[in-house]
Amino acid sequence: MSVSQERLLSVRDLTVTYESGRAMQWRRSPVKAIDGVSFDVRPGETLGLVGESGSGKSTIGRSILRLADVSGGTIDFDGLDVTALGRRTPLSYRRAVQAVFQDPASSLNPRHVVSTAVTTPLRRHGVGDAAAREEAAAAAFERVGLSRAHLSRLPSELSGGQRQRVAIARALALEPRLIVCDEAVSALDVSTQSQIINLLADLQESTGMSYLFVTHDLRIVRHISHRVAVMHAGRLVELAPVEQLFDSPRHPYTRSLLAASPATHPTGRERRRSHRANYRPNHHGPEIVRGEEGCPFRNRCASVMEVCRTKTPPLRELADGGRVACHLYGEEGRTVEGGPHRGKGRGKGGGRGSTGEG
Amino acid sequence: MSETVSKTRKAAVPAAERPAGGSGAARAFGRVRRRPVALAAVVFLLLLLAAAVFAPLLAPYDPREQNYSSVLSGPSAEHLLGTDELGRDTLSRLVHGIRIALLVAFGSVGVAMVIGVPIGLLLGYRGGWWDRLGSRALDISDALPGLLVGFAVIAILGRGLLELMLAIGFIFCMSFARMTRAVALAEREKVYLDAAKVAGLRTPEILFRQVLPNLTGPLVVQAAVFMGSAIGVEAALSFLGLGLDAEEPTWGGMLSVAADEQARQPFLAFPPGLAIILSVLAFNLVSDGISDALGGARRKPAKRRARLGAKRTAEAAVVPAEPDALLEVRGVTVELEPPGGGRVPLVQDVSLTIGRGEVVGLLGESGSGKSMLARAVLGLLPPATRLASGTVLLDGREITGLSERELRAVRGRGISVVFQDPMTALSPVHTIGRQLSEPLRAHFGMSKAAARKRAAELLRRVGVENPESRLDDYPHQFSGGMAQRVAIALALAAEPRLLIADEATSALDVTTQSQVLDLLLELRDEFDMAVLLITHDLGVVAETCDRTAVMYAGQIVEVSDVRALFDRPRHPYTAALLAADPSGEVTDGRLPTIPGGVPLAGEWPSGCHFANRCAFSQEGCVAHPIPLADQVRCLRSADLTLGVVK
Repeated sequence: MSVSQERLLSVRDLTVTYESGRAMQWRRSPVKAIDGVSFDVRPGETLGLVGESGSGKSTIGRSILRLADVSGGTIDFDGLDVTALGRRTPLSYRRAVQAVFQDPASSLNPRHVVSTAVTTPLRRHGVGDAAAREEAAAAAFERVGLSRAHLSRLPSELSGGQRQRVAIARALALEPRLIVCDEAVSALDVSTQSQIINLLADLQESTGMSYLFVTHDLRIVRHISHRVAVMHAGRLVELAPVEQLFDSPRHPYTRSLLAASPATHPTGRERRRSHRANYRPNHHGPEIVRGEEGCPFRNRCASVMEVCRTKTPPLRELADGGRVACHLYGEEGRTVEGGPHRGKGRGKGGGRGSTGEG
Repeated sequence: MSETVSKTRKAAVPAAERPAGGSGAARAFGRVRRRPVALAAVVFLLLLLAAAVFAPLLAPYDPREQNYSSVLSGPSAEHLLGTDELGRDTLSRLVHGIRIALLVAFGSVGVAMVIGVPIGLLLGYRGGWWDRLGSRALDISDALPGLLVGFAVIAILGRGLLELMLAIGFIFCMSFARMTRAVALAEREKVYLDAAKVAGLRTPEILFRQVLPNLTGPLVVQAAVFMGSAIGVEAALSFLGLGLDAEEPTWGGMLSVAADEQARQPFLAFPPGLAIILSVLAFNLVSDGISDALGGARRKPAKRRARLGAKRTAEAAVVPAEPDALLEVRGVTVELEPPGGGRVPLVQDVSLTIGRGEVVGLLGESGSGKSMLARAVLGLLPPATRLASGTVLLDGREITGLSERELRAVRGRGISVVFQDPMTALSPVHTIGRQLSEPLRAHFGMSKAAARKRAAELLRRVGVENPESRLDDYPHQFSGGMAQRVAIALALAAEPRLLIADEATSALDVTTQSQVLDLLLELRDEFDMAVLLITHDLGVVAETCDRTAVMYAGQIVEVSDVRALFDRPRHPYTAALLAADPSGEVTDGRLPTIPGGVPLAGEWPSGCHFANRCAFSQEGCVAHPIPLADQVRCLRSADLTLGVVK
């Protein structure tokens, strides 16, 4: 898989706000689901987008797919500013950007035989006649490891893994350049997960398309991603090449995510457990601080400093190309290049550097 | 759980019985045929239709022909059903009346659907202000009496067949709009519509080709009901003189004549009256039949007796309880008894021992039967399943076959359970404080105040902040992770000796999951409570369990100390599962995979269940059932050295 340095997709300062409160209330306050997020996806690259529930990771995917309304910033796809488009989306964009969603149970129309999932988009895009489209569906099924016999089945007659293969075939048939995979393997069993991850990797190798791989499970992105972006409270807190993120995570939130992810072997679990017990931050206040100045993670951060309460850390680019939004790496906290080991505010800033080895 | 049952139920239907590739409608029609009452109604309506088509042949006279020589005669050889006040033959008028009744029924329902369905689709799919204003309008129109709407339409348009259809159609269209809106609202949330948008489909295409097919079932049912009602409304309007011209043979018009002449010829009311009653009834029965058929086979509630009727194996009666064991599961087999007959095993011959204070993992993929085993232990098997054989001992005492009353005592202080969705354990209408106090008062006889104090302690113990004030909160006021903590507090209230956690952390974020798992381990250390941790997640097993049983297709294939399981798996399935775990170390190239999928219940082979996916299977593997020997269910376990190659 060769990844070039050009950009296929550029997201800049993306902001998405939701009206909170009850539907019939007159006064509603906007809540920022996404707050100034910027990243690129390169041709042939898989960018993992990781975060816990409510972090806004899925909303980013939905904004790119034009399923969520954007309130600020730009999404540039190969020179086309998607946010500047009107209500209608050009078919060329629909063709270039496709999606695979999480729930294999509801991602296919229960009333249609599954070949329809492939032929309907083809008909909309004016590809061939009916017979040619059926043939294209059969070809797409073959590429995702399904047989012709599956074409005439109803979704309820397929297993979860098979339905997800149909969803991939649907996306694939339009020959997209980017697929947004929103929790595409999260609902599957372990052995099925690895089959689908391999399939996605094989398809990327043969077509050179890019993936935006949205998931809550840090462990899954490890095999498939080239780079990983970590979301917290609607903001991007860290973006780094995959090895770097797993071997030396920078942001305290990334570290806590890695420490919380179950390891793949029992060895060292007593140490990990006591580590979690000792470093469980015992701060008061809400888990995530929204809508005020300061770092949203400060109430749960083991390395919190004074500046974290007054100033929101911007996403900074470090010398090695990784990006992180944390004061430990800014002018206020940095003493040693690339590391937080002698933070000014609190002495224990660097004490958790080893927790990420999972 | 219900998903498992439905999956296995489908599997239970022999493949030959399933029409290969047949449409849903064909299958539904097959089910209608098996209902004698609905079938009779269908036949009646078909006869009615035939009578309408061939009315001129069937009717002995012209329905409009007047004959003053025999006026208001009763049934006779000449006039089988008698004549009316102008000497017209009642039978002929009745038969010709069928035409008008059916025309009005189909026509008005057609009008109602053409108007109502698009309105409902638009409101439901658009949502927001469209929906809010639109559904208020629907509410207002619903408040108008139907007949009044009919009067108004006829007053404006005048009398006639088409006008009658329009009038009745207007009365019904709002019901169709309302139903369509409800279905469209539900479908709007489904991901396949997002996929349709991403494919670039236009809104009308999405509405009519994607959403509408989901409506066919409810629409057909509703249409059948309204066709019946339309006949009634038509009769009412004609009776009031607002329907067709009195000259036309309509059932309502005949009733109107009968009412005028009832003193002179009371029999006149019977033929049209019966015709109306029977046809309305037939339409309703047909709609019932369709509704049942679309809903699939009705579930028969399981007989309690069946659960108690477990055969006790001779071995179970003889072998004494192991002294250190808290829970002993011996040879448990759970079977599904599908309504069509037959038996499908869901769990086969499972034996498992859990010691005091031990954390035992039960690892399996979906369809492995792991949750069904937990339910068998708890005596909570779902309908249509039963414990076919085996025993469960808690502290040496047999708990299979206990009465519901005795089981309740076992469940609180002996075994407690936490499921994946905490809301299944918590009642939405009572405060957390009340729900936590109840078991405390029941099991320990605490006073109200003491129970409340202990409830607050429990909440603090599971990591809920400000427990005293949160006691007065309702479950919906807690986030997912916090609600699961509350569910755990509830499960712990009676201080059980064994806690069964059935995918209890699977829906939580990793941070919350690790906190909840750490909490379970702390509670084990503190109270010497044993935990049966049911999960599909290898990582959860690695971090938490002392010992682990691996289940595959209804059987335990390996029981092992957790470190040995990860270092030296002895069953090929375990080894393959460990290798396929996508959370493993980064490797170049592809993840190892297991070919194929888990076989469904009912399609298990008689030999080794894993043989067809196993890299090491031999001829002997498929011939006979493989016993669990030395805690591993594999013929080749002695000569295979399985490692996890990463």
